[in-house]
Formats: sequence, C-alpha cells, structure tokens
Amino acid sequence: MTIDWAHFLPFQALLGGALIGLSASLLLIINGQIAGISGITSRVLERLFPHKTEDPQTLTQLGLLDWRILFLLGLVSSPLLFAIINQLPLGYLHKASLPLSPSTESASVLNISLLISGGFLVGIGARLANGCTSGHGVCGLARLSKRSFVAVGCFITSAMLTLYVTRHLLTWI
Amino acid sequence: MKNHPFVALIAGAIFGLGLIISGMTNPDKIYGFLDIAGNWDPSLVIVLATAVSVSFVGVRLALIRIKKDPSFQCNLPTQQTITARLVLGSGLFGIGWAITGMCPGPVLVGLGLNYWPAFFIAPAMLAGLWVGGSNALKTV
Repeated sequence: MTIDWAHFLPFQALLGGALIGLSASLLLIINGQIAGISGITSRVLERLFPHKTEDPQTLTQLGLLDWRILFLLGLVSSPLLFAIINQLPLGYLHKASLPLSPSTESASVLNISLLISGGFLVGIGARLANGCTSGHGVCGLARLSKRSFVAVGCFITSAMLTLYVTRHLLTWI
Repeated sequence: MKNHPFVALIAGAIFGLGLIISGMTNPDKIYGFLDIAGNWDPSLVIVLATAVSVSFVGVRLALIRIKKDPSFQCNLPTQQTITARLVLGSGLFGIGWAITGMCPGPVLVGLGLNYWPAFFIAPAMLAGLWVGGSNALKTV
C-alpha cells in the first residue's frame, strides 16, 4: 500500500476536520444537540411522514424554524459560503477537492441503479445503527461511546470490503 | 429545550464548509481512503481525527455546562448496549457508503454543489432513512 501523495491534501483535511468539530461543538454546547446528519434528517422525515409511534420527539410540532430544518438548510447552503470565501485571497483553499459531476454518458442503467441502491443502504443502515459518520464517527467517538466505536469499526470494515469487491473484483468503480 | 435556530443554521453552514474544504464531498477521496489495496489517500483519517479531537473539547465543555446550568437541556444518547441492530445497520451503511462514496452529510451538500449523482442518491437515502424507522423493523 502506497500513499496517494498526488491527491492527499493534509492542510485541507486538517482545516476541514477542525470546522466539522467546531460545528458539532457549537451545536452541542448551545443547542444541546448531537450533530448527527442521519438522525437530524430522520426526525424531520418522521414529522412529515410519521410511523405513528409514541416517540415524544415525533409528536412535537416541528415549525419551519426548528433547529433541525435550519441546520440542514445551512448544510445545503454551505457551497454558497464556500464560493464567497473562495473570493478571498486565501490561495490554499482553492485546491479543495470538489466532486466532479460525471459525464452524462456515464449515466448507465447500472450506475443509476448503484446510486439508488447504495443511497438506500446508506439510509436504512444509518437509521438502524442510529447514526452515521457524523453521529457515531464524529460525535460518538468524541463522547467515547462504546456503541460508536463498534459502529465506526463495523462500517469502515464493511465499506473497505465492499470497495475491494466493487473496484478490484467487479471493476465497477 | 431552547431551539436556537440561528446557531443551528450557522453550525450547518460551518459543517458543510468543513466537508467541502476537507474534500469529503468528493467520492474519489472516499474511495481513495477505502481502497487499501491501491494508492491510499489518508485524508478521511485526518479529517475524522481532527473533527473528533475538536469535538472532544466541545463535549467536555457541554458536560461542564450541564453541571453548572440547570436550565440547559442536553439531548445526549442514553443507550449503551451493543446490539445486533447496531452491527447490522453499520454493515449495511458501510456497503452503501462504499458504493456511492457518499454519506448523508456529503449527499446533502452535494445537492447544493449541483453534483448530479447526489440527486439520485438523496431520495433513495431519504427513503432508506424512513424505512429504517418503520414499526416492522423495530424488533430487528
């Protein structure tokens, strides 16, 4: 195994990671809430399409100014913030690695099916595990939670095995 | 519980900014981390370690606030047992994550970045999140 020095940007990783940690800390200290994206999104979905449980959080009125909705709004709007910051003379930021939209030729039936089934697995898996990379990975590990250590261990192992199969055996990715 | 919507908005924007700057919205960086058989991109480890370290301080401060401020309600998870549901869920999550190269945060930021795969992943992910909470699966 060799290090991919061509694509590894250590400064960006540190800065980005620190910002994520700052965000989670802000939300916990001020709002008293865990910055777990899957959990936040699930609660909003639950209010819109309830499963009719007796979970008190489900039955609480979710106004448009609910912290969850605003957090998600902030998340989706962050590219705008990035674009604004990119106007400043901070050269290093311009090297941030953004996702490149694949050409529309690559939108085959297989690829679209993979996006949909993969997305579904991310959703159902995170819901069952009660957390994802932000909830368990960032917040859970920061809280030294046993459950989160197990969750992170499991999803990283599962992901690495899956990628080995899809990239080196099936050559899909 | 105090709602603090403006703080939540800022926190969401900073979180997304962190994901973008660190490269975590780019599936190639995720694949690079997960591909231990190929050229390894350690970015994700650095991002996670840094995020956890900073959050660790945040957690300590929050715990101090819990002790000192009786009006502060902190919604911390209470469950401690490691369940089959946790392991199964994490396993499934990992498979989906490796296939798409995106987890929930990057998917939502990806919508804002006009990254077209996110427009397919997001609805499927929302469906999965919803199905995962169904009453039928409560006994898993």
